This record gives sequence, structure tokens and C-alpha cells, in this order.
Amino acid sequence: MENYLPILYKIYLALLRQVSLVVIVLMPALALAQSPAPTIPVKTDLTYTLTAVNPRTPAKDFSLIDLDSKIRHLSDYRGKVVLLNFWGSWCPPCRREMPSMERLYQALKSEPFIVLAINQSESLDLVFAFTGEIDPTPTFPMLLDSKGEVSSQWNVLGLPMSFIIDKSGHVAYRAMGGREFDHPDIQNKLRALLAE
Amino acid sequence: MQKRLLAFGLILFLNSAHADDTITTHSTSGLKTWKQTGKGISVEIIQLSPEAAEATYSSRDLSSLIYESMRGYCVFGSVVRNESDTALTYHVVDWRVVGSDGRERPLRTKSQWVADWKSKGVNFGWSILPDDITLEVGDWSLGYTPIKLAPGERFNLIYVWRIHGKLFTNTLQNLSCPAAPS
Repeated sequence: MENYLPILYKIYLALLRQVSLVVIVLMPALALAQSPAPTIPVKTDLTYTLTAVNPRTPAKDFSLIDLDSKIRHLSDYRGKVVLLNFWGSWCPPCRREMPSMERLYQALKSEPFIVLAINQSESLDLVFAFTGEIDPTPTFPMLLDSKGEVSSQWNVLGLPMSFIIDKSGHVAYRAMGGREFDHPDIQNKLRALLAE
Repeated sequence: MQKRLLAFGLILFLNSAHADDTITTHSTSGLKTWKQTGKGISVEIIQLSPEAAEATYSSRDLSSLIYESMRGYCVFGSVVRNESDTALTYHVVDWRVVGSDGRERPLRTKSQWVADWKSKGVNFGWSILPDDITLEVGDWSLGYTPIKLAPGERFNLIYVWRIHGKLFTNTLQNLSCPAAPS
């Protein structure tokens, strides 16, 4: 058996070389050959920029009911940073960004921060059913702007549209279109506002 | 007037932007999406089945009021993204459709739809692509774009936008309204 050991070792080394060749050279080539023809998919990524509002403008107060029929006023949240989001369940980016809003809400749970998501012109039943489909389920207040009066007051041109309000009740940032709200860039901006 | 139109046309021609076009086809429905990216903007036009568009409204008890007003229109999903590093502006009123008859015609804008629906007591303008908007860096807008077309009809969409006041134009070519179900 001992006589065979050098031979076995040589075979082992030879096999190792073959395997290395396959792993280092052939596998990427095979992978390239087997991958489907390159396609440019429809860009569905949420972005993570916020546009600074300079100078900051006073946030217009409103009173809307939430899903428990409790009246909430924006002015109740003075002293907190507010993410105000206008959305509709039919709007794909609104659906896509909602989980990131909940993750952000959880990440800043210990801070004076609140998310207020204002639904546009849909029924309580529809909004309630929709929130059950979102993972993680939103735990922040959902408000109903059934006649679109608040969105009109806020000059919301399309959905989704979001505003960040500072602790003194001024609009500091805005964003049109879906965002990944728990992205570090956005979190950094919010933490800077929280530190003001 | 004719000279001004010619000048406007010349500006548009000179600023016709180079663009990358992609077409994707949904694996099960066969519906197509056209996307064009270039000069800081991307425009995406998404075929929708008439049932899908109607469902958006009927699920909100708006079907009879809104969808009846869209009879004769082919409803597309549309997405406009600012892909540049500065603000851009577009006005749908500047956009044109060139139908199978070769004639240019304007699109019916969100403002026009909303005015029509509001007179009938309906407020659901959200569903239509914002028609007069400035998109900041990273911003994007979406909504339905209803275009008066016959089922299966082919068309080109000429769209216009501005960056720092400079006018750009591009054309999404050979788009089509989905064929009527057989």
C-alpha cells in the first residue's frame, strides 16, 4: 500500500489541477455560456434621494381620521420629525416603499420620529385589507384623505409623494416617486434632523 | 406663425436625444413594455389589458363614471424617471402621438381628465400620469396614459422635456395598443 501512496498523491494532485482548471477557468465560461441573453429589466428599484426644501416652509396643518376613526392633527406631532407620505393602494411604488417605511419607523422607534401615511380617496376597508398584505405590517398611523383635500392643500402632484417635516414643523425635504426609506442616506438625513 | 413652428421643429430636431430602447414582453400575458433612456430621462410605456385598467376603477365603484369616459381610449401604464443629476421638467401637453394614419395629435392630459371627472363629481385624478411637473434628482412619476387608439393600432410617442430650460425630444417608436381579445 505504501508503494502506491506516491502514485495516489500524484493522481490526487492531477485531479486537483483539473478541478482548479474547471473552477477557475471553465466555470465562469460555462456560466456565461449558460446565462440567458442579457436583457435590461424594467427598472423597479426605489431611489433614495431627498430634495432639500430651501428655505424650509411651514407645514400646513390638517385633521384626518385614522383606521380607528381617531382624529389626528399634524400639529399634534410638533417636536417630532415626521415622514408624511401620500399613497394609494393601486400605485405600485407606493406598495413597494411601504415596508421600508415600517423598517425606518422601527429603526427610529426610540427617537422623536413618526410616519404618517395618508391614503388618497380609498375606503377604510380597502386600506385595511391592503395593510394586511404588507410585510412587515405597517404599525404607524394610516390616515384617510377621502376627498383628496389634504393632498390638494399640500400640492401633491402624483403618488407616491413624501415630505419630511422637522421638529419645528417646517418642511425640510420632499420626494416624488417611490423611495427606499430605510436606506442609510435617508436615515442619515433624518438623524441630522433629529439632532437639530 | 409658420416660421415659429418651423423654428420649434428645428430646435426639437437638433435636440433629438440619443437613447437606449428596450422592449420586454410579459411571459404569461404577452403584454409589452417599451422603455427609452437617454439625456437624463427614461420613459416607460406599459401595455395593460383593458380588464386591468377597468379593475382599478371598478374596485373603487368608479367604473361607470370613469371608465365610460375612457371608452375608445387605450390605457397604458407610464413611468417617467429623472435619470440625470439635475432637475428636469416635462409637460404632457407638449407630447404627441403619431397614429397609424401618420397624423400627429396631442394626448389628453391629466388636467383635462380631472376637469371632466370633477364635473361628474369624481375625484380620482391620481390614476393619470402627472402632466406638468418638475422631477428633482431621483424623482419619478407614474400613472395611466390613455390614448385614443383602436385595439392593435400601432403608434409612435413623441415626448419632450426640459433641463435648465433646454428643450429635448425623443420618440418611442412602433408601440401598440393590445389587440382586442378574440
